[in-house]
Amino acid sequence: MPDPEIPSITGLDGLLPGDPRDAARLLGVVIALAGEVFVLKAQVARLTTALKERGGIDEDALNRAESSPAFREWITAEQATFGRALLRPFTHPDEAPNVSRFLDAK
Amino acid sequence: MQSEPAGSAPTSRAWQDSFEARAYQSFLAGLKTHWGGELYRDVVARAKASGAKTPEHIEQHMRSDPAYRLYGWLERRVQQFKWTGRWGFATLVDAQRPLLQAHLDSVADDQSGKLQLDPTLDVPDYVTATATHQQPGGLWQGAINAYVLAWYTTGLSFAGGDPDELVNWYARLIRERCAEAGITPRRIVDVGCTGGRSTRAIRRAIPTADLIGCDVCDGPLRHGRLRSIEEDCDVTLAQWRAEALKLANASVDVLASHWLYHEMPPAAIHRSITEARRVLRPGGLFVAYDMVLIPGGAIGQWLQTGYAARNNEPFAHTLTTFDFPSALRANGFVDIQLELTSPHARRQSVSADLPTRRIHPMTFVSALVPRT
Repeated sequence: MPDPEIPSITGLDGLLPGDPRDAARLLGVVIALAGEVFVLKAQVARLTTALKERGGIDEDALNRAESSPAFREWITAEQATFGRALLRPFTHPDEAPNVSRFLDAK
Repeated sequence: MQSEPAGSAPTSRAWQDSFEARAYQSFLAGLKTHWGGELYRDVVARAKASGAKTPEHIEQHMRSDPAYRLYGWLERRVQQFKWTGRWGFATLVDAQRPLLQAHLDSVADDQSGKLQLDPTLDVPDYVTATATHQQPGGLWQGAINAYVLAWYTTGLSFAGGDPDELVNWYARLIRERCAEAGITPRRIVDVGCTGGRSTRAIRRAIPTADLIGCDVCDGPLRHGRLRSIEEDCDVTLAQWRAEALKLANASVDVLASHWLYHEMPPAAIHRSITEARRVLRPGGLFVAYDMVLIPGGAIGQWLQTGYAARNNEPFAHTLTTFDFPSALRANGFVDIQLELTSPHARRQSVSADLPTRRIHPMTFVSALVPRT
């Protein structure tokens, strides 16, 4: 239950205390994050494989890449997309309609 | 998913694939593997230990069980991630809408007679109200959704493989059953064909027959026409209901359906069986491949009902109690056979044991119209 001593506007009483769907919301966010991590791991593994097969890369090259227009363009786009994708399961904890009423269909 | 160089993909698979999409779907496939393996076995063991004897009692006992709650959540939500996650198929197709929609529009007024659309057809409410498989918008709302389903069904993993392998096996079952019954089919109708994958498979297995595939949703039929042209597979795709086929009495040798009846309520199945009997010739064959017989006793039923609710396939629950033998007999069919079967084990008994992995239990139903 919310603590009546804490104004709800501060958010200190939690997001939606007592809502049984909070666990589903948060698990959705965790799984969305795991999806991002999995894709990231796959990208790193692919890059590592490519670099090893081509003979490697040095720290200077990595620093130059960080300041390159291509990288800046990527991170700007990613900033806009990542958070939205990650948090969508919180606002959309179950995106499909509930059809259980049809379980008794004649 | 198999990468194809830009510009080389056939029109029916013209979506823009990416490494990230493949990796993301691979991640979800891994979650699904855990769900259908270790987690499923844990849930089954806990359900057995509960001692509950009916699906309803098992549900009561297991509702607070953490393993079951995670199992149910994953069954429903991983599917939604597949569709609408960051690299979900619906998300990706939506971003490529202009090109893909143009492909579907290109066949909308096909003059070959091989695609018969009916814009006046009332799509039944058991389709419009269920968002089958939780697919956003279902297949009836927006032709573009046919591409979402096609991507989902033909490109799920890095492993590649032949997406038609199972449907080809099913088509060979029909060929076998025709041979057993002494039928050389001239016309075969495949009801509820979606985009005609099963229709084309039957055509490949029985190339001497004319094939008509029908479905209520126009998008998959349009997409299926694109695919049929690419495969040079001569089938006709028509927008008809299984309960109201635009065919003359006694004009069909085989009426088949592949994964249709778990998407129809019992009353609609009864009507479609009556319609099948009307269009089949004397000696004709009725076949259906779907989730009818459920092994595993009460736990098997409980898992199947949960699956039906969680994956928006509610009639997968009512199908398990649908009395096919009575319905077929009432319409004059004979030699009625129900066979729990898979490519790995034909003619299985309906065991009280469950398989060690969560799989769809499939039944091959067949029946004949008397020759006289």
